[in-house]
Amino acid sequence: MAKSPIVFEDERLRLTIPLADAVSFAMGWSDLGYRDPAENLRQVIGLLAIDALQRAEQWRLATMLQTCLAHRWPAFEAD
Amino acid sequence: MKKALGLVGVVLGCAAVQVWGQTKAPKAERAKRSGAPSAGPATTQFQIRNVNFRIDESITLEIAWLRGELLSNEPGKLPTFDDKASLLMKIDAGEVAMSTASFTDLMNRYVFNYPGAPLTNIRVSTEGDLLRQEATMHNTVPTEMVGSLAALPDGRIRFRPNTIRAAGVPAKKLMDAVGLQTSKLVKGTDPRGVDIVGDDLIMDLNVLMPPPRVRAKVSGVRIEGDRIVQTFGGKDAAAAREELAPPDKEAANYMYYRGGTIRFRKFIMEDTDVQIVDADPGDPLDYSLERYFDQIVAGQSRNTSNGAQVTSVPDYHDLQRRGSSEQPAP
Repeated sequence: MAKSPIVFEDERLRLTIPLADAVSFAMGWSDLGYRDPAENLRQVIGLLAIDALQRAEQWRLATMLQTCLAHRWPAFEAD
Repeated sequence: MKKALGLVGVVLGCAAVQVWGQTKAPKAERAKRSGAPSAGPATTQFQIRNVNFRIDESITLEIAWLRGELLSNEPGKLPTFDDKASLLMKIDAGEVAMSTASFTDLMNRYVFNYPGAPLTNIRVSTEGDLLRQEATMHNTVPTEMVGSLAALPDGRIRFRPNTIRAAGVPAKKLMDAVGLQTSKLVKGTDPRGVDIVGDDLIMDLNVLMPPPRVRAKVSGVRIEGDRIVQTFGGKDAAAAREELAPPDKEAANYMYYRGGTIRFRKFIMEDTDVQIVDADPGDPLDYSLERYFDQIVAGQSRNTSNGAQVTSVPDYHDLQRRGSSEQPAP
């Protein structure tokens, strides 16, 4: 079993894996060692990756990732 | 007595010079003196012009011209036309094209044909002077790469994608932004002539081609229509083009093998001197390595006064057509 990509810290969830791994997993390009990972797990990792980028004030990159994820899941589209 | 010994010495000395002269004279010169045809090179040289060389039923090398050496791939064995695995084609110079259909087959049936291959269902096409490669990554993710080809200084070919789409999403910018490279996503267990370095696919003809084995350094690569054209040889390539003088000099489409020893069916030819020419010079000679003997049987051979053999053969596709029209109706 792969190490969990998420850590619980008080009430916040944070990524604990490199951003490149999170992005490839969220986009469905890799499986992080999980066998047949659920789509909603990919969505959560995608959200956490966007959150991490926004917290780091990487606005352009966060928007780019959001746009790419919206290709997979239209619900990711910005309002 | 002294005089007699001196005479013997002079006679022996002359004889030694005679023997030394015979030993040191070039082989060709000695043959000329004895009236026999001049001997060819020790290994089999080849010169090919305008031949569609079918390695198997679906992979064809479209040879505009090629110069090189035909060697044995198995120590102690002769290069044998009936055993593709026994052949090693060392290419010195030339120009060879491959259609994208042939290249697609090469990728699917040889290069990525093993359990756990990272790419499957590969489809190669062209887009102007760029190459497009569609594939399924790790059996689940549809990918598409469009990029350019270039020859590397070490003789391998580099495919560098300008755009990457993965799972239908334009991915190149995002991948670059987060430092994600194709080599991390496409992990192979058995490279078979394709290495992934960063986003580049590096292809080595010496490894990825199915038998006959090839030893070649690509010096240039370009896209022409739906064909990938590779050139071999440096600045001396043009000089090598017409180096051998085949017996039928008028032939436009031919394969000429000269020197060394080769084997085909029951024949072993020493000091090889054989030219296979196209019976229909209107289009390139369509030659099948797997069915070459059917072509020879359907062709005509003649021998020249200096012992060379010239065999005129029909195109393989004509032979196939003839074969199917001769099939009895069901």
